[in-house]
Order: sequence, then structure tokens, then C-alpha cells
Amino acid sequence: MEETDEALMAAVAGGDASALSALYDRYERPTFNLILRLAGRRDVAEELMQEAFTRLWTTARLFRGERGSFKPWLFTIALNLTRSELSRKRYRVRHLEPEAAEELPALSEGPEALAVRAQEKGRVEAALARLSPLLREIVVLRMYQQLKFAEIARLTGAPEGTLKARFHRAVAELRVLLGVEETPCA
Amino acid sequence: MRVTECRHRGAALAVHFAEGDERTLEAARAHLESCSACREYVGDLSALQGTLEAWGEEPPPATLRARVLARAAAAPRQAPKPSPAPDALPLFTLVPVMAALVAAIRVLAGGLSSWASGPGSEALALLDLIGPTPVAALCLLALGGLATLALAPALFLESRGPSRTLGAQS
Repeated sequence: MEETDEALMAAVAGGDASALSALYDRYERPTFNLILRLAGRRDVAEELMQEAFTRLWTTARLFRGERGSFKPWLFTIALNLTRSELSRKRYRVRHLEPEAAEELPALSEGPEALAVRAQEKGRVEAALARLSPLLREIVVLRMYQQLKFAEIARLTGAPEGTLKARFHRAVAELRVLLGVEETPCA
Repeated sequence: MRVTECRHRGAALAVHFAEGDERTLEAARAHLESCSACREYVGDLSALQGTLEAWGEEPPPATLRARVLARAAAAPRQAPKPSPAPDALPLFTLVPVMAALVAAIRVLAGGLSSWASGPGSEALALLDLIGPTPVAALCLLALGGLATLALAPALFLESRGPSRTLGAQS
């Protein structure tokens, strides 16, 4: 039977490096993609992955794990490191400006599906990069990581109502950035 | 009406993400039946979700695993906070202490007894009342209390000294 994350963390706390490897293998992709989508740069994501798992290793004894609590713990580490890095490096982050949508690369009717997909990906990346960090965070955590608002609230310490308000704002901005117009209803 | 004007647009989130208990979802669905703006919003959320999926999961570089694990293994580990309680003495170390205490009580009781029965000594009604051994024990207890009081400032200062740190482990 596969060991739980919390059992592996207990082993990590005891200095078992193989347990750390097992946890890394389990969470490499989601953690890497979380950081990548928040930071928007692969080099930063790689650096912060190293930092996140080093912190996990060095502070494992402080983890008080109930069942199901490891993933939020790891994501909190990753989120805090990314926030800290983004604020330290002063990455260019702008709120939505009227001309922002026009600056985004437009979708073309290219014959190569691969090229189109790459272009679509680029548009999404660019749109997310234009959101403020808090709006980007809520989109990444809810839409990509599929965390519930209640889980995000526990992770970030922000009230659920605040997170939902941020989410609505993020959706409104993304609609404009990605050219999805809001539909007025009767 | 636009969805931004709807006070209940949280219902659209509940339905789109299927988030909340059954009662919440039921109420959200009921709201959507009567609110076309929120229905449209759910459609927009689905469309947006589809658009965002264009940025799918990216594989980390193959070399990242080795780098992460090597860096973690080289980092010093943080020790848990030391317990504020002092280390307990092993029980066997108390045996000679107790033996010395009993011996001291016996010696003191013998001394008190011979002093009380000495010529011209009418004093110490307490000795007659409860006997020399308990009185000797009480005297030692009182002496111990006085010694503790005298040492209290030094013990207090000692306890505020630099905290114990455990050696770093790799």
C-alpha cells in the first residue's frame, strides 16, 4: 500500500532522504506548474522549486500533519516564496489598461495546429502576466490547480468572500485581455 | 442586466465549479433558473476555462529533480524548539539523595531527642507532641526552603541565559 504524504513527511522529519524523493516525485509537476504560472518564467520556477523543497527538507520537523494537510503546506511554501520573489525582483506587473488587449498577440488562422496552439498559449501567458499578482494567484489556484475557494482561503489566509470578489475581477479582466466580451442579458 | 450587477453571482461560481454542499448548490441552481445574467456568466466561465487550458501543464526539466534533491540534502536542518522544561534527573540519581536525607533526619532527630531530655530542658513542647523525627524532617524542609529562596535569583538568571541549541544535521 502506498504511504500517505503525511507518513512520508514524518520520515522526512527523521532525516529520510528517500521519503523526500518520493514526495518530490508526487508533487513535482503540480508545484512546478503552480510556481511557473504565478511567476511566468521557467528559470524562476526552477529556482523556486529548489528553494521550496529545500525549505520542506529543513523545516520538516515543524510540520504537524493531519491527513490531507501536506499539499496545502507545500503549496503555501511555494506561494510564499513566489510572492516574496515577485516583490523582491519587482517584476513588471500591471493592472489592466485600455490598450492592453490590443498589445496581446492576435490569433491567426495558421495552417499548423502546433503553431496555433503555441500562439494560444502565448496569449494566455501574456494575459495572466498582465493581471495583478493577487488576481493571477486566484485564477491559477482556482482554474489551474482546481482548489476550492475554501481551500484557497486556508492557504492564503484571505476570507472566501474576498477571494470570490478577486476572482470576479480577474474574470472580467481576462475577458477583455483575451477578447471574450461580456454578454449583456435581457 | 449584467452579471456584475447581480448580487447573487456567487451562485454562478457554485454551479460552474460544483462547489458547496447540496443545499448551497440547490439554491444556486434555483437562482440561475431565474437569472439569465448568471446563466450567461456560467457559460463565460466555461469558455474562459477552455481558453486558459491552452496553457497546459508544462513538464519540468529532466535535470531539475537531481538539482532539487542535491540542494535540499546539502542544507542544514532546523531542529525543533527545545522544551522549556529542564531535563529530568534519572530516578536512580535520587536514591543517594533520599538516603542522605533520611540519614540527616535520623541524626538531627537523635540530637533533638538528647537535647530535649537533657538536664534543665523543659522547652520544646512540640517535640513531646509530635516526636523528634517529624520535627527533624520539618527543620530540614524549612532549611531547604530557605536555601531555595536564597538561590532563586541565581537560578532565575541562569534560566534566562542563551537557549540550548541542537547540533545541525545534514
